Amino acid sequence: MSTAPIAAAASRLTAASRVLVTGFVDVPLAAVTVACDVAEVLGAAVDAGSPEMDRAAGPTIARVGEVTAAWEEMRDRADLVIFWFCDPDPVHPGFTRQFVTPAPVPPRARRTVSIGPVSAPMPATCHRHLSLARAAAVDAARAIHLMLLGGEPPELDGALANACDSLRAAIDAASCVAFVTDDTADPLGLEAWSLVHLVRAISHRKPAFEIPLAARSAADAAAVCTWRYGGAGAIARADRGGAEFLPGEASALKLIERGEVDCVLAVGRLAAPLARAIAARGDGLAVIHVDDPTAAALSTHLEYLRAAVTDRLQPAAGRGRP
Amino acid sequence: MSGLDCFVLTGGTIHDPAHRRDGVVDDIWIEAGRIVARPEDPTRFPRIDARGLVVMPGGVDLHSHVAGPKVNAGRRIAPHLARARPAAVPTIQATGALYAALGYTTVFDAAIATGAADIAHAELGELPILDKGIYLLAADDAAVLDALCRDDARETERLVGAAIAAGRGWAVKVANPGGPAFWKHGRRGDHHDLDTRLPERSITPRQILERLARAVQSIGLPHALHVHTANLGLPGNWRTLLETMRTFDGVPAHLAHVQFHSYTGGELDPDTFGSGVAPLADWFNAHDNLTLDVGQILFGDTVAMTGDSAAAEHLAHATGTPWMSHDLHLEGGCGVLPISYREKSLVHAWQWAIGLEWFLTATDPWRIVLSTDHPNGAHFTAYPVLMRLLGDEAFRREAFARIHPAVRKHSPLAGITREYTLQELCIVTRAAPARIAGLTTKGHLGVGADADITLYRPDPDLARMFSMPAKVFKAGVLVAEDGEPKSLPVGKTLSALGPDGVRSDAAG
Repeated sequence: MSTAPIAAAASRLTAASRVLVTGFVDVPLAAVTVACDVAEVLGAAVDAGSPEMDRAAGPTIARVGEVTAAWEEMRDRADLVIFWFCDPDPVHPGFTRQFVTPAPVPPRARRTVSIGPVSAPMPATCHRHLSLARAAAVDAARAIHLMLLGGEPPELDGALANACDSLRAAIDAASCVAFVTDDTADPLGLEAWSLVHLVRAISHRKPAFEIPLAARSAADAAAVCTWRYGGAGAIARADRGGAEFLPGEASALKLIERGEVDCVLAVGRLAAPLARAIAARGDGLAVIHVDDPTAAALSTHLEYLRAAVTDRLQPAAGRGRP
Repeated sequence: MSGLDCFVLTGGTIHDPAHRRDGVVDDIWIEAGRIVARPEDPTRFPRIDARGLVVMPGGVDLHSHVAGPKVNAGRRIAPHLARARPAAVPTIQATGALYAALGYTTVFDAAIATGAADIAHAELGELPILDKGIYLLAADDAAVLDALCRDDARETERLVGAAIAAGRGWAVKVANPGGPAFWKHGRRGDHHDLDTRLPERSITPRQILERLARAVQSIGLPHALHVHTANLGLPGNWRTLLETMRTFDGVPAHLAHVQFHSYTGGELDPDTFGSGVAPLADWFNAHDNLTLDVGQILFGDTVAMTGDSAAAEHLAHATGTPWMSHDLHLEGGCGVLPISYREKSLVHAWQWAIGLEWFLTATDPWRIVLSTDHPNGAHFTAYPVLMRLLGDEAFRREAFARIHPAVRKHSPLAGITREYTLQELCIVTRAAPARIAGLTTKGHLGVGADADITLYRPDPDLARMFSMPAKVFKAGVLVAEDGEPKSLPVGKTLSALGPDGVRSDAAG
């Protein structure tokens, strides 16, 4: 491979005041680890751009109490799939075809329900759309939760009441319930929190779990960041000896929007909000994009970049060569 | 010093139970990461003065939770515990450094789903210093369960062997035998004995245990079936553990964290929650096909994590604590929740006393392993406190005086005066876990052993002595000194079988 682009990238990275290493959407684990190595050499921030990391309390309130499962678990066992204010195919093309359309293990048959402003593209014979505005998501989750607990149903307007009644009936009739979510447009994390409680309440009675689509797309980055730095993202300074996890402060979006970084190392695909935020910064933000359709090549590019950066910053270390 | 290829530790007071050396003053010769016989030309071996220091093999943690998805979940679930020092669930680098600073040089993660083996190895690849291995939850795989249902020993051995080879596992762990099948079919809470058939299958938990233990024995894995039996944490579960021990009938098996399985109470016991250790220890002491680790609890905050989702759910309901659950597309899963053990809690005080009762009534230290089931019972950095509780009766009595009065009144611990000797502490933290795990080059200081060696300053305060070794060597490299890491070499991954299914060299 040509060394000139690597040298140029290393030059930009090492000249920057503060670097953010981000991207990571669908980037394999091996490449994530090398990208984090680069971040450690640079003392850079690391975050994959998950909306959860933009919320100061998001990671806690969204994840505590969460019941999740593998997509295959849903495919094989769920006889009710609820698209919770989520149209999955734009987030993960092919998701419904591969994991929702196939029949579950007999004798179960699957029904699907979309609740929210948009319906998932499912055959009408076994699908129902309960149309609700996004703003009603928290109220809907709480109302259904209350209904399941046997409490007094809250006062609801007609559309919301009808949707909650219908969904509660569908849940009552099911033996295994999956909620598909996409974790977008939830600035406070209350949607995630209320849904976690609903899923947990159902799971006390029958198998129930959430399939959070957006979280999975950068799952390997979250895993590596957690075992190295103790948090799934929003790592203010990559350091295995003691990093700080600052959700709502060191998230990729906040760092870019606040102008706290002057250089971004984007590894693989960027989450859409990040791409927009970077574009909004214009020329004030240097962006180095490392990508390759093959996982091995992506790792190799990053290995070379790590070597080049290390040679510039730690020439005496003698550990730069891949 | 850490870069020396060969050296000799001179004049140390050696505790090497495998070779019946109990406080013998001698030299230890090290070359190329191994212990060697006194060479013909000793002059080329630089000398490291170990006079006045206690020399033991590096510690071996037979049952811990240090990597994999559930450990990552544990790191995330309680931010206040993540910010503690040390964190309740440390990062992977801190895990290696803290273990080494304590004098431990080998660790096994005791519960990894086969589907999560790759990511666990990726994480363990970044664990510094320690040699490490994983136990695979192979019995949760649907195909293995099918073969067990058919009592098809050959197919069971083939599938389990393939899982161990592909997942680079060291041993087979069964967590709540058949429990996930109950859990995933919404039939929680009816899995009270070992003879209830699994939903939609013609097999009982007892048959799973019997057939799986025989399969592990036939494959020739270095470590026997590692058993976390049913009903963890439930009152009255001592009967389940006793039945579990009876089930093996001469076949080797290792019983994990028995403290969590030794409770009286429930419908069948006339009194309330308490200790069921006495009949269990009687059986255990009389049956040398069995080994165990205790899973001691110590008071304080920690995070509970288990492949037994049903147990985690039970604990979450009992404590009112938010928890996380993650099910896999195989039959396994995990549950994670923060927990605080308190001296004045009746249940926690019983748990504390029950663990110590196990340690002090099991007669053969070679069949018992010191563990806290990190982080479930306590953080591994609390091991020195546990060692003092075992080796210092006065200290134990002081601690006993602080716990819940009902436990003080009824616990057999009140009348136990046994104190572990240094040699016995060396056995339960090094020699026994290495032997039980099937590690032939660890847990001893004989010729050919890995040069994993810890030097302690003798101290009447055993907690202080064991919390800060003077020097720790891993494969002959100085990795820690006076509690500070000195280097971070990468240890070996211990895999029982090679990719071809043949027993690997690492198994010894």
